[in-house]
Amino acid sequence: MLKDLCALNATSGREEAVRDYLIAHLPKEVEYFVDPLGSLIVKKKGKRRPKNRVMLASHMDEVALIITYITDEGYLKFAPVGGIDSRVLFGKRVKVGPSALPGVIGGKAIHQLTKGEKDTVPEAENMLIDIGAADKKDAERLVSLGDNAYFDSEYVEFGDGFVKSKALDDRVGNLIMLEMLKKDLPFDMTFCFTVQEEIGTRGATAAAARIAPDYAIVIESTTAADLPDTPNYKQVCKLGAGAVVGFMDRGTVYDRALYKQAFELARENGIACQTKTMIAGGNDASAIHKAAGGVRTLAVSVPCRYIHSPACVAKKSDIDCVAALVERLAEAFCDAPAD
Amino acid sequence: MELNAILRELTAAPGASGDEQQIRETAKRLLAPYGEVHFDKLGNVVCEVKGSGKYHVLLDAHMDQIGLAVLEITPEGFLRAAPCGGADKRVLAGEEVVVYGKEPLFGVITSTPPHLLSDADKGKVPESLLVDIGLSEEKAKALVTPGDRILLRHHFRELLGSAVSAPALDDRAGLAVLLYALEFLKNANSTTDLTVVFSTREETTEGGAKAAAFAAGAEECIAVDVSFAYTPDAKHEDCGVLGKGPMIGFAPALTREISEQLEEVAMENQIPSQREIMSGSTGTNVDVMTPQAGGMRSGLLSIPLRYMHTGVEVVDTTDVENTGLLLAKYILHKEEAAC
Repeated sequence: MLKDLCALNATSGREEAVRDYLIAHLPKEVEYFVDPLGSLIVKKKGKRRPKNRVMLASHMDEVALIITYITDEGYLKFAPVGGIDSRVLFGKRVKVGPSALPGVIGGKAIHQLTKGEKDTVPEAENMLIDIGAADKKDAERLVSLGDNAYFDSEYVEFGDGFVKSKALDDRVGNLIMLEMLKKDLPFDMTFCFTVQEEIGTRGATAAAARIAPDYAIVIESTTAADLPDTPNYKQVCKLGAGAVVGFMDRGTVYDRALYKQAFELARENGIACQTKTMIAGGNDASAIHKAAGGVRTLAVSVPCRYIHSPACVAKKSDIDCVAALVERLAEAFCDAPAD
Repeated sequence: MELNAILRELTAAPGASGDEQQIRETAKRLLAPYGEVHFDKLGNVVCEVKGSGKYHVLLDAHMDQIGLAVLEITPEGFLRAAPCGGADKRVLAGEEVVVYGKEPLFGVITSTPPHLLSDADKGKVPESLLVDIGLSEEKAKALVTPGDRILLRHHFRELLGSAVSAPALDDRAGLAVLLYALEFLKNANSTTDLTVVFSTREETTEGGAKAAAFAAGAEECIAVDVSFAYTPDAKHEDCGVLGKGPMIGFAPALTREISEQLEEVAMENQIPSQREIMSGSTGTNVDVMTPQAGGMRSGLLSIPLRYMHTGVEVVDTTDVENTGLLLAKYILHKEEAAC
């Protein structure tokens, strides 16, 4: 199922493919609603009515490219949608437009580079996608300005329980929520699959105001830099060390009490849980916690190496840890004494 | 000859420079219908095609490809690697690879997350080359040994028109040209004695072709390799054009008469061709072959190729076909002229 979700192409503003897939896989008994921005809001009844309204959120959009111009020679110019390091674009395969045309991003041969050029990757704005078009007219038959191009990178399982794909950020969150929706829940809960996270948490802003929850849990994937030659304090978090619960990132200062509660619940239930060792990244929590008069918010994330690249890497055991911890937290928040 | 199928098969067979065991088995099978095939001491695949004994031509294309080699296994279980041949390091971050250890292992070349980069580092090619195979040090050491080769994972994509993209088209497209020419010559009952060499180690030392040329002792040699096809960031004078036919080498190190004859044969047979002008030697196997065994007259045909030494090399299959056709017609032309 993660494989299917990652294979779908859905960048910011173009989340239809993931939303349609999720709707098709929702259990029958839930109510759902698509808001004007495109976020999918699903309400599921639990065994009991909650003391607090709890919202779970994960975003459907992935980073990708948008075609901005077609050159006379039939090459496509593009801009990134969301944050993409130009170094993971050069020399890569993409799929372009509604018909998923194969394309490649490249430049002149290494033999023709000056010494300085050999050590520097071109800026994204100077890169071109080659779809093999004879000229502009040929390209225009199949590609329109505003079409998107996606990493051509499928889901692969490797090593000791690792997975590689594009779009793990945040299809892992979508998957965890979808699996939870299929279970019997202790309390009524609201599940929100948001749009436009990658361009500034826009979907979550609208959805959180509409849902007006008391508590929110954002289910994300977050950057892990547990690589050789990288000092421990710069690694942020580690694959295989469980769910990531940070106290602060670049968008949110998390609720101190909820942060502590997450680690207590993890310990009580034998769920591996780690914090972030750097103030890095950001997610829908930044929009949600400030919405609707204020929402007590926590983010629980899957550590992910090479995030926003064609080859994101996560560990399956971490996904299980996030799923388990989110279930415990959601239940606890539903049942917490009302403020 | 179904060129797309043969290019797909030839590019899928692994064969990093100095580690050509797998591609050479594919090569042997594909060459078997045309003559007696053997492996020489440097691993070259040599096919002897018997003719009338009057004139002996050596044909070469190299079967090795650009790769990486494992230097060490880090305590974290990652592989530290170095280029084996002139890999374009600009494209490596975020690439999928296969490590040819005791068994083929999937891996990802690490990329540094943006939060760890200083402004000065942005766009710079990373100095260290690390491969994530998702294994502990102990498990990695059981399967991988320093010196094992690493290749970019094989993908074959058909672009618009007749362009195709894959790694190792340099110089598997050259092998396809020789196979095409052999088939054509067989059907035309050619009488020329041919030694066809699919050579090893071109990308590192050109050692394979040198040894094979000495052993062959032919009157004339023709190498088939790839050369630079124009991309918008390159200079026109340094490049051929994709889809405009074989590039006929004109260089001080080549026999001018052969270059001119190749061009004449192309014109007579209405095969599109273009001149590739070089000011000294050619940077191909023909440089080391020409002086062997007392010296040989030499010519060079190149297939225009974009994005050389990356995982997304592009050729036009009509160029592959026309290069094969030109080579065959040239050999038949010499037979007619000798009668």
